Amino acid sequence: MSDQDKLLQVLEAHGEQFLQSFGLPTSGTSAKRKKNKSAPSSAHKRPKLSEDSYSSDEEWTGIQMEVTDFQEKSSELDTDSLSGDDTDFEQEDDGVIASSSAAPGANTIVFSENNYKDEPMSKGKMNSFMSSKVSKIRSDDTTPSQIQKGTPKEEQDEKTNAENDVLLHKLVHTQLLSGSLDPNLNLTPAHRRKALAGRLTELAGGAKMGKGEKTVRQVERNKASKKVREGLAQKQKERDQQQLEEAKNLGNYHPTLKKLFEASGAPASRSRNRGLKMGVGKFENGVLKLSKRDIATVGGKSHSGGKRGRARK
Amino acid sequence: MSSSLLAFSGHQHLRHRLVLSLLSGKHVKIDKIRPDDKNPGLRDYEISLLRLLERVTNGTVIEISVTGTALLLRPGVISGGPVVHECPLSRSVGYFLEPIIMIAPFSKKTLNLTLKGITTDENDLSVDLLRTVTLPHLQLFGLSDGLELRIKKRGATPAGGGEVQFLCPTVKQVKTLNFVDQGKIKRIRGVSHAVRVNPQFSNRMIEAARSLLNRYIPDIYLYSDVYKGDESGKSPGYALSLLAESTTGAIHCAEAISQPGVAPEDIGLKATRALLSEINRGGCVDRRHQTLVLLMMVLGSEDVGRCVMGEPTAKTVQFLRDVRSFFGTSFKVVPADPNDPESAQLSYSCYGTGYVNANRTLA
Repeated sequence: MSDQDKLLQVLEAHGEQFLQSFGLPTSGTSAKRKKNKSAPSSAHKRPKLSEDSYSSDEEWTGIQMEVTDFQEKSSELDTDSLSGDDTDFEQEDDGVIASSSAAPGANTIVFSENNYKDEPMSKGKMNSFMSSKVSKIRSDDTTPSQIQKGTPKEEQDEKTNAENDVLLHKLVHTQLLSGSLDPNLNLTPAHRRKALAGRLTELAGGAKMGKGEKTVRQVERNKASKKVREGLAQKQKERDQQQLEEAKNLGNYHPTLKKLFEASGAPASRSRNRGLKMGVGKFENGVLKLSKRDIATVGGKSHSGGKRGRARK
Repeated sequence: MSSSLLAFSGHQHLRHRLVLSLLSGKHVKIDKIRPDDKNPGLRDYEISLLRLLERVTNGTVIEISVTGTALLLRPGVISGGPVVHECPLSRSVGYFLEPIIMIAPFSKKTLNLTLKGITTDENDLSVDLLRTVTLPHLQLFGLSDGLELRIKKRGATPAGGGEVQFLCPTVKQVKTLNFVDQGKIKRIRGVSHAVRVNPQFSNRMIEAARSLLNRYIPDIYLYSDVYKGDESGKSPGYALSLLAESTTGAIHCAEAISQPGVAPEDIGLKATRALLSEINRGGCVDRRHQTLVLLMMVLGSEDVGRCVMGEPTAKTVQFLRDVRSFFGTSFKVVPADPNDPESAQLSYSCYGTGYVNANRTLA
């Protein structure tokens, strides 16, 4: 313990010397502080100490004094810690990097507490670990690369199949059917002209693949008189119906192919929104949530900017 | 009634004796249950367990003496199916689930058991460990598809309020185990939860645990499980469960539950130190799951099953004795590594009984 006392004295002397360089009256206030500090310093007493220093007759001379206060306090804190008050030290130690040990020969490894980063585990792994299904808890053992290795061939086949499909679709609509220059089709010049025009609109982006000629013919139909127009439309409808019936008879029809058989003019029959809904707002968890816009649509006093209605002339 | 009657005494090891009776079909009589106690006879949780076993099976007859100090169990057929059971607040759900896990794979129909009560307790395994450690041990024996433990609500002592649902598929026969290589620890996972307290407690426990574990391996992930509102039960509490998995699939686990007046950092450190000491003991199976693994080895196909574990606990020793009374199977326990005199690892091997689940409906 005499060693520690000596060290304490040395440190005190050093501290006082340091303070004297600032030209402050240290002896009176520091003695006061030391008396207060000798009691076991708890978190409560620390703010009181600062107040004590100000309760003395000294004026608050600005920030410099506070800085020195802090330095003085820290030097006193060190002395306290040296005196062996372990609990205090632990309170004050908040993840400060530990210094290497004094023993010269020991190979110490320095660990700083907060140096690790909480590596964000991939969401898939986290979900699999926390899932209620036991088979999934350790599912990240099976590496996905293994699964892929099993089916690269199948994947290649699939890719080429998809590619082939696209190519076929393109060919069908560019060369095979609408090929207007093909002499075998015996296209009349008008027909040939329309096919070419259709192909051009497709390329220009005005129509979807395969619908180019249809668009052209529709435009032409709209130019005709009402009687002609209506007649043509009705005939088209009849033809569509017959085609649908034929497909059903042959067994080529399935409800999933509805879109194929309906005339493209008719919009896709959207599924009707069934059920009763709130006129405005969202009803969730027993609460009707209204936004400002909802209230405005109902007609509450909305924040009116702009014209407040025309002034009567 | 040609099946023999086995007599035991004392309240200890009650659960595994009931399980062995149900599996072997032998009648069992247990007497002298807490005769000198201030409250003699069976406790409320034990009676609740008997009632649960009655509901899970069909045709079981349980007779309890007037004073409750003696009990006779005539096992029926394990039927399974949907069962809902309210557990008393004296023991956690883990106390009831452990024997059920042992018998559920051999039921007639898929078991769909809902248990309500306390989910995390000091005396038994918490539901987190049951889900992440106990049930994966069943995967070693061929049970994995359809095996689930859903934690619907959490409940801490003393008021409880938790709910779990356990789904277990049936299996015809359990696979033979050959687990001799314990491997090296490759990753550590953990679940920390806090109910009805400051959610920062969960993070504090994780920080404290990480401060110890980070120096060993990089692959550590501690998940903070959040339950709010009605699902968080009726009492406040928090706990940290840790598990360490090795390269060969051996799992070691440890957990620590909150205590009044103890800081969450201390709970985190306690759990971590317990995990490290479990890992130190080594083996392919940790101490709490020894009985489960040994039971499944006994019920395996007629082949030699082998497993390397640490020293048996007192429970395991008594379990091995009871297995010999019920099934007639004895284990050969030899040091796993004869060249290394200091290693405490033991190799347990036995000849399986070839138990076949005759109850199973192949629907």
